Order: sequence, then C-alpha cells, then structure tokens
Amino acid sequence: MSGLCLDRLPNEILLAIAGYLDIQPLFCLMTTARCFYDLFVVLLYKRDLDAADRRLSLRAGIQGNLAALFRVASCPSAPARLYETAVRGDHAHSVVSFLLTKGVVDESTVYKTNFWPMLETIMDSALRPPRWCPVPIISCFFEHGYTLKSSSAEMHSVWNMVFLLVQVYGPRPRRITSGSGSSSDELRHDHCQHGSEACNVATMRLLLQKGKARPGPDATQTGTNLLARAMKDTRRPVDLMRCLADAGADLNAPVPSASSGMCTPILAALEDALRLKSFAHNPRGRSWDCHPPQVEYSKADEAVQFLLSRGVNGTAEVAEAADVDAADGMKSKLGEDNLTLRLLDYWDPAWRRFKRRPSKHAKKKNKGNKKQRLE
Amino acid sequence: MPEEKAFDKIPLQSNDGSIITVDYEVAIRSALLSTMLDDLKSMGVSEIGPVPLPNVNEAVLRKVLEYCEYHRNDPLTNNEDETENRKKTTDISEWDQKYMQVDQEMLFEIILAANYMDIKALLDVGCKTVANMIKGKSPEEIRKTFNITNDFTPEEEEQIRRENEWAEDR
Repeated sequence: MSGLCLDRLPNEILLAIAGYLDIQPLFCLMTTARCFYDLFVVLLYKRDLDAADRRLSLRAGIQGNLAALFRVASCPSAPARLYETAVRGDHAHSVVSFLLTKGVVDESTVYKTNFWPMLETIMDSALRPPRWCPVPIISCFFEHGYTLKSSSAEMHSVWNMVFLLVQVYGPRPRRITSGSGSSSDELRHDHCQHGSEACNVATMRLLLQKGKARPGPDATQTGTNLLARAMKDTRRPVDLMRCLADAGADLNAPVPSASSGMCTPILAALEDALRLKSFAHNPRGRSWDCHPPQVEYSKADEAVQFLLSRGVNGTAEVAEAADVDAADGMKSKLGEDNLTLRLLDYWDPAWRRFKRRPSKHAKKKNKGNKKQRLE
Repeated sequence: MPEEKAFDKIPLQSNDGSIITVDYEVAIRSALLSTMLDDLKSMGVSEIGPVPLPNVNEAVLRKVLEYCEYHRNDPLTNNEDETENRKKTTDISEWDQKYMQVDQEMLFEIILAANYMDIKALLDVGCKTVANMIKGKSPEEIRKTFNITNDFTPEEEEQIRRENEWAEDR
C-alpha cells in the first residue's frame, strides 16, 4: 500500500471529515499544517457565523453582502467573537484581508470603486449597540484599494452617521452604570485604536484623507453641509472643523443659518453662540421645559474662536463688535467675560432687556417689602 | 415495490486483477455501480462481464464489499435528504465501529474507495471515524496520530493562534 495519510486525502473528503468537527477540534486540525489551514480557515469562519444562528442573513453576509457580517458584531448576544475582536483593532486587518482574499467578499464588486454603500453598512452596524469603532475596518478597506466615489446616494447617510458616532472616554463610573435610566450605548473609548482622538473625528479624518472624500461642494449637494454640521456639534466642533479645514474645506463657503438663510460660517457660528447663550443665561429659561438646565448646548463659542483664528471672512466685523463692546465696559450678568457674552450684550437687545429685568426672587422680595411697608 | 433485478451476480475487478462476484443487492449499495447497472439494463444488456474498479485494490474491495454485504438490506436513502441529518452526529453503530477498527492506511483507503464507488453510508462512517480520532486532541497530538509534518514557522504558528484565539475555547 502507498503511504496514505490524512494530508494526502482529497479536499472533498477532508471537508466531509471537517463537517463532523466542532469549531474547537476543527481549529486544532487547522493549525497542524499549512494545507489544512488553507482548506479549513474559510470553513471555520463560516462555522462561526452559523453558530450565531442567523443562517439566512449570515449566508447573505458570506455571499458578499457585508451587512449581515458586520451586524453580527453589533449584536450583544452574538457568539461570533471573531467579529467582536476583529473590529477592535489588532485583528481587523487580518479579518478584512481574509474576507477579501478568501472570497467571502468579492473584490470585483462595485464596492471596490464605490465604497460608500459598504461604508454605510459598516457605519450602520457600528452605531448599533453595543457600538464599536469602525476606524480600523474602514482603514483596512482603504488599504485594500477601496475608493470613495466623488458622489454617491449614500454619502448623506454616511456623513450623518459619522456625526452620530459619539463616545465617552475612560471607564464609566459604577454608580452611573448601575443606575436605572442612565445607561449609555456610547462607544467606550478604551476600545479604540486611534489614540486620544474621538471616533467621529478619526473617522472623518480617515474618510477625508485616505478615502479622499471631498469636504465641500459634493457633500452640500447631497444635503449635508459638513462644515455647518461640524459647527453645531455639541462635543468637539473644533476637531471636526479642523479635519475639514485640513482637507481643504472652504471656511468661507455659505452655510445655512437658523434665521438669516445662507450666511458666512463665522456669522452662522456667532448667531448660534448668541442664541444658545441667550437661552442658557436667560433668567426665565431655567424653568422652561424646552430648555432644562441639563441640556448640553453646542460649543458654539469654540466654533467662533476657531473660525476667528483662521481669519475667515467677517472676522474683522466680529472683532470690531467685540472691541466696541469691551470699550463700553459692559460685563455679563454672571460676571463672565468671554467673547460671545460680550457680543451678546452688544448685538442682542432682548438679552439686555432680560438682564435689566429683576429676577423672580427679587420680585418676591420686593413684594414682601412692599407688604411690610403697607402694614 | 421491489425493483426488478437485471442481473443476479455482478463480477467486480479490482486494480490488481482479482475478480470478486457479488449479489446485485450488494453491488447497488454503490451508487456508481447502481447507475451503471441501470444504464446497462436500459440498453438491454443481459449478461455482464467483470466491472473494472481501477482505483480499488483487492484487499480494500473485499473490505468495502463486507460493509455492503452487512448493510445489503438497509433502505437506500435519498442523498439530499440524508445530508442534513448525517452531519449532525458522529455516532457510529457497534458493528460499524468494529468494522472500522483497521490501521490508518486501510481506513483512508476505505474512505477513498467509498468516495470513488459513491457509497455514502460507508463514506460517512469513515469520515466520522476520522473525526472521532481528531476530537479532544491538541494540534500536536493530531500531528502525532496522523503523522502530519508541521510546516508552519514558529512566527506563523503564533500569528494563526493570535488571529483565531476566539476559536480555541469554542
């Protein structure tokens, strides 16, 4: 007899044998020799998908639609630890490489030249709880030659999701975690692999730099003015605006404003800052249901400062207003001396009216005094 | 209704020239032979000469026919229907377990012959036997059992382990 051994059996028989093995023994067999690894690695990954008990959607995932594949990662009870670990950095490259080289994702698909639809899927999955950082996965696709088309129907949706990609830094305090209504599904920063930069900022930078996404006119055409969205961001407007500026966004291009239609970014930011400051410091606003004290207002101040530092159109006008105001020696009611409060004093008559109006407490006190006097 | 037999005895010729004659019921356990005999019957052939099986030697052929002889009365199941069920378990009947107590080379030869002659049930038993030999063993033990040469570099081995560590405890 010839020296027949396991590794000399034809692939169809080896695959039939593997069909009777669970994931763990299959993995052990796979790691014994290169021929087994090459043959079984696809089976192992597919077996893991099957174990997720989402056969129909996962089959679609295997056949080229990444939606299901990435959705597995986003499901809290998914046993598909492969994807959970994959999307968290170190393994991302090998998994994406695997998906591409082993034919799980067909490289010849339209996604290669227009990555936006697949990006939409990835972002959608990344945003579903438990959230995960999409930066390593997207980066891998770019490294494999995937490119963003200059214009695509999915652009608006993708950018929207990039702005929604918020996260918290560091471990959450136990007190808050165990609280009933305080559960947050925000991304834990300790899972990210891009340093201290926030995920939305890192994703935006990636799309603009590696993906060569255009920061300006095209995005506007599809309904998302990136600069306007960045300016209104409640957490890190400056980082986002800096990304856009670094990628060549026109900081003087008109942006939509709440009251005056299209105007320059500096005026829009200022208007926003004034309006929000007015709400925040309005003595009556504290009791308004629509503006409860815990509302986080956008950091419009920072946006204004950033635009001023970049010397955009209208800077001189703003600076002049601030100087005049400072010369008048007007100070805000709360004793703050920041730029927008001073500008608020200068530009918003309604704010002055509120400033001069006595507070409820003062009114009550006066009323009491009056009563005493009458008695 | 039992199918009308075209032939009573089927002579089978192994690759080393030996001729072993078997009953029709035994021969049709092999889908290869069954199809061939059906074709001959439809062509009106009444007598059949030795059927050459160039991929099977005498020892293996005898062993395979031993299995077919024992299971000659088992129902012939539809392959597609059977596929799902047979994947679920690695249980092997007592007789089959005893039948498979052969050296590794013979085991693989039987599997190859079953694959060639298209005897699904025997192929399944063979694969299950090998799968059972793999289960519960570490990669090193598997290498030792099946005399597999490790052709990974230590770096590659470490990389594979890292990339697939999720599978180690599954």
